Amino acid sequence: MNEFLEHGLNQNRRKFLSKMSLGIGGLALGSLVAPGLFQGKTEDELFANVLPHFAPKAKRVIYLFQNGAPSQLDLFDYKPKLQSMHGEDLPASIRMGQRLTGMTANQAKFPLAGTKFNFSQHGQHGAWFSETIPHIASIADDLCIVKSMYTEAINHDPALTFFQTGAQVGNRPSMGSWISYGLGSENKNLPAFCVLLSKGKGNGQGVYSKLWNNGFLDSIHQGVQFTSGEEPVKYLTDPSFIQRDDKRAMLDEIASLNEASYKEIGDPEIVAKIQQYELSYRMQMAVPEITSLQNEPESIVKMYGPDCLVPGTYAANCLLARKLSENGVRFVQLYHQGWDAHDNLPSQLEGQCKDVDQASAALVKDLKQRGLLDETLVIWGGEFGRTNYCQGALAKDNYGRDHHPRCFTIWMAGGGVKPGVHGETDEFGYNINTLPVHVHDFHATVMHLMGVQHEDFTFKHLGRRYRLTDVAGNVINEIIS
Amino acid sequence: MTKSNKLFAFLGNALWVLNPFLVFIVLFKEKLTLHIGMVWMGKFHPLFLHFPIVLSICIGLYLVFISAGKLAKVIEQQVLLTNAFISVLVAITGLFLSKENTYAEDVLTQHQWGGVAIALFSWALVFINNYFVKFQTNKILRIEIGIFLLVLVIVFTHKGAQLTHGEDALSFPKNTISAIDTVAKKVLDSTASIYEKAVQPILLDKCVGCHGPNKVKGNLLLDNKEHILKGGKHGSVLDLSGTSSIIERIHLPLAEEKHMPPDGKPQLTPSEIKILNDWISAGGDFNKKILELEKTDSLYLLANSYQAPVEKIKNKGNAGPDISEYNTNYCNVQYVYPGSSLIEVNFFQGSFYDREQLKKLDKIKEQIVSLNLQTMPLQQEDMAIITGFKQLEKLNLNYTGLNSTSLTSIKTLSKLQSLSIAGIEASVSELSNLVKGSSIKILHIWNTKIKQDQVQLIQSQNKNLVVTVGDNLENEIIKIINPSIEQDSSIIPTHLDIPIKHVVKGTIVRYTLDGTDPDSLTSPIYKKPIRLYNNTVVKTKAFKPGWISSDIVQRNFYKSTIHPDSMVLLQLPDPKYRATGPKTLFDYELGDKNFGNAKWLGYKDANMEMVIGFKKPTAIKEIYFNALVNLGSYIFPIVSIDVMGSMDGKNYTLVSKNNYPGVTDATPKTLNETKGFSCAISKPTPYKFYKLVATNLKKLPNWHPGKGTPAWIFIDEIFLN
Repeated sequence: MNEFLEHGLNQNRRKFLSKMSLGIGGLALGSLVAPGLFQGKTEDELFANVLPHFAPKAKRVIYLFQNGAPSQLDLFDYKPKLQSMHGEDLPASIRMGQRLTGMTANQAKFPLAGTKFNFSQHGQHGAWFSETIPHIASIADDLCIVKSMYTEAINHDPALTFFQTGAQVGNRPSMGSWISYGLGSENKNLPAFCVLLSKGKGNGQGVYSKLWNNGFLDSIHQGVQFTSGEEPVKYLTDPSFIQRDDKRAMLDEIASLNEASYKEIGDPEIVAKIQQYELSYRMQMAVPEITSLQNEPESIVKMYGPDCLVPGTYAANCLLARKLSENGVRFVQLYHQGWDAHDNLPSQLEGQCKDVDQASAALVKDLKQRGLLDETLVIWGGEFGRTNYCQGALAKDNYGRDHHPRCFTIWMAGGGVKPGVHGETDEFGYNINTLPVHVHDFHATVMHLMGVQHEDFTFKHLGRRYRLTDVAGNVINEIIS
Repeated sequence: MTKSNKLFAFLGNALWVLNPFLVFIVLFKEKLTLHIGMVWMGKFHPLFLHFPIVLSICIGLYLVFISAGKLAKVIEQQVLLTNAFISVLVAITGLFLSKENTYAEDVLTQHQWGGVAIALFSWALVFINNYFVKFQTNKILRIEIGIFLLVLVIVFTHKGAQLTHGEDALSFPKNTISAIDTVAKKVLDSTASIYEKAVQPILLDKCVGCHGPNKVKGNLLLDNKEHILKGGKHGSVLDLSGTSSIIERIHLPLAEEKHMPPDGKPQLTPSEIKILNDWISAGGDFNKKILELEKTDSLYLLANSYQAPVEKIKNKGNAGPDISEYNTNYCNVQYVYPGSSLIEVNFFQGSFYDREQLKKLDKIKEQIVSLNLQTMPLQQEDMAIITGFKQLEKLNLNYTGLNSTSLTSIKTLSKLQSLSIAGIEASVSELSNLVKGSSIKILHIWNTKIKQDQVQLIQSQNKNLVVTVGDNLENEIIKIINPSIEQDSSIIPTHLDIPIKHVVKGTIVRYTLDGTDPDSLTSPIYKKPIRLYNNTVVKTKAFKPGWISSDIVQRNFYKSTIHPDSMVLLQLPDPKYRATGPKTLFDYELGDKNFGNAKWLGYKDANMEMVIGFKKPTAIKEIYFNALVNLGSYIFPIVSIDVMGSMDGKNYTLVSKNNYPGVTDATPKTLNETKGFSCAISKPTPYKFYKLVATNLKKLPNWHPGKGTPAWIFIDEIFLN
């Protein structure tokens, strides 16, 4: 139109850049107002105010792990067919060429072994129990029995690791560590994840700290092992000449040194270390008060069985588990070794049941009578099942069973699970007929009961986000009340 | 350059700073932390905002009605620059203000982005007017842009007015009172209808946010009777012939997409679900009075006790009001889940109980629904505080040391559903008084000394009550565990003290030293460690009144007075079981049944042969072999032991020969025990050397599963006396 206007359009580079620099100044000003913006979110911040994702049904878990894999066919999964076909070969149509362990894969025959024990039905759902576990049978109406569990691993270590960490290789955090990480401890004087070990007389398989490891999570989430004996938590007690005040002063001093080196290096493990010192300082007061079993009333001792006063027994651990749980420990993990009955199963099983039957049932009853069962999830089960055929020589009333990952039974009680029987296996007890539950599904369900949406609960490590259920797992809504 | 030119050049530059700044802070609003000065600046938003409104409207009108060139270009630019500058300032201060106060989220978001749009568009106008040639010539374009500016300003500043003056800021005054007001103002008792008293308050509290006049999701309104009856896009919600979609959706698991209220919104409590469910199932009668229901009807109880939320607690996303100040190492206070307004409280470790902590919770008592005080040393004063927590649904008072009279005040907790009082002494009449007409559904009274038949009495009076008694095992007789002999060594050098321990209090431990079984009357009672001097069998047994006595626990203790000066194995043990050589046999340490523990010498298919030597000729009365028998592991008992003596180590005379009964087909195959094999020397003569030969069975017998294969013997210690 005119030159005056044309002139206005002469936006040259210098003009543009000088104006833009002002804009960048504006942005810089903005970044001063939002100081944390360029740091990125730490994982802790991600979940700090988010978990639980919804109202939890269970606040705490007590996991009674039957290490070595108890025989579902001699405890819960009653198969009269096996008794009537005792000694006959496992039909190929049932096995369908599925893999076996190296221990029986080369057997010329797979003679079916019917259980030696008598079964009877209990509770309003008519669940079957063998005569070896009368106490557990007596709480049938509180139990959610899952007969259709299955896993992918066929040997103890990978199967155990799979159950505990959601992966067969051992570099992931344990279930309890995930819970500790996501939900924290209710009682600040106790770790959120405690581990108790006991050993039966049956053929045992190892337990090792890898199973309660924190994996890539902060080491504060590692399971703390309570041992039998005078000192339940190792290295917790100070020598007698150290006064509590001195200890406090010492910890303060160490903490200030640690803080200084954290500022310098920035390693989060240093912070974890400070937290651990503080936790152990508080535990020094809390643990003796909580682990003392002497003051339990006589009726409690009778309920768990007098063994509960002998430190290191399964019964004592069950009682201790209740005490830890009612004191706010999120995840109490028990392991009872000795279920790996490749031979002499009947006698080994009887011995194991004698160890665990009464105390397992007592734990559920004890929680119930205190009004705590509805918020505490009790889980009882092994890492896989056992075969319906005999390993080694089959006698009339003696047999052994090999590992069987394709179906097995676990039970849960309290904590928002619906009592009843879930799933069904075929009449040979070899494959699952209805409602299979994979280990990932089990994890997803437990997480759900704790108020955690398993798909949204992740931790970024080595460039990818991990979760307990890996990339699978469905919540089994049918067993949630 | 004139002064005013300088000023506008400055404004132009300032816009380059302020607009990016605005965009930046609006994008990262959640992360902002405001300096106190900014908070103060925020307060000027309501003051400044009127300038750009007026200016923008003037500019808009100018563009629409007045053609280009009426005002000098310089003037136009100056007005536009001023407008853009004030607009961006207002937008920035507005953002600051919004960080400080809480406003309705939806309207705020619209107003905020509208404000940003106005600021940016005002800035854009400066350039459009300056550089865009068409804008100067095209009348239509000017009018369009003018109208756009007017609409932008009017719509989004009105949103701001709604924020400060309410949603009906400029709407025509109504002369009807809204449903929400009616309910809030009426005081309702059981003469009210179920709908008025309970159902409508629940709907208003939890549903109307999305199914109300402000937001109509699924074309469904739940704010009054007519709208509820009308239903939504899926039809009636009270349809009793099929299933009511309300009933269906409130019962779905939270994870389901169709679950109502949706995940993240405040959820219905179990009693609210029950009220809605029961009311709809009973026909969804809007007029039925609470009084018309049976007094024992759960709907009566629930509806009658239902209280509309006293104060709506504001929920801003995940962050409820901070309650960390109430948390200590011994008291955990937390929301049921993030986003919930309900709080649960757990106290831990009675020895650290502090009443002040409980008092502190008074401030949030309207939100506390669950309180766990088990094992806290509570007194009447604590109870007075607890009964002030009127919203409590769950209360745990197990083993709190309260007495039953202090429990009576629990009755005033009208929402209480679950009560645990294990370990508190209370009589039946006190308990039935407590639950009579109360809202308690579950009562845990384990260990309150109430008997099973008395429970039935309480239960018969309260149909909806579940009473958990737990096991009463007082009269059950069970076996007491074994005492334990706490002495690791089994060897008596000159003497040895034997402590015996039992973990159950009040247990009497008796023992014998003569091999007889202890009995409950005559055997000595264990008081202090027993001192042994000679080979002794200690048998002990625990007794306790009301319990079956324990098994007998037996331990053998061996005197070992002579220690050889030298020892040589003539026959070497199996390489796997050679422990630390011959000295293992005289180290005063017994191996247990775990024969792989390097305390045992194992011989496969061979006899054990050794020579022991003394510096001075020594007479031996008895030689005692401690060996293992474990049939399952092919370890068989020693068949015979020969002892020979010599003074020169070359010529030996037989001084003792002993054969031992073996095991037979009748022996249990699982036999696994340590066993002693004793050789008495009838005429003890001093010798310098003794040769010891323990014979192995060599071949397993036919009845054994490993028949024909070599047998083992295992020896861990040899005692000389």
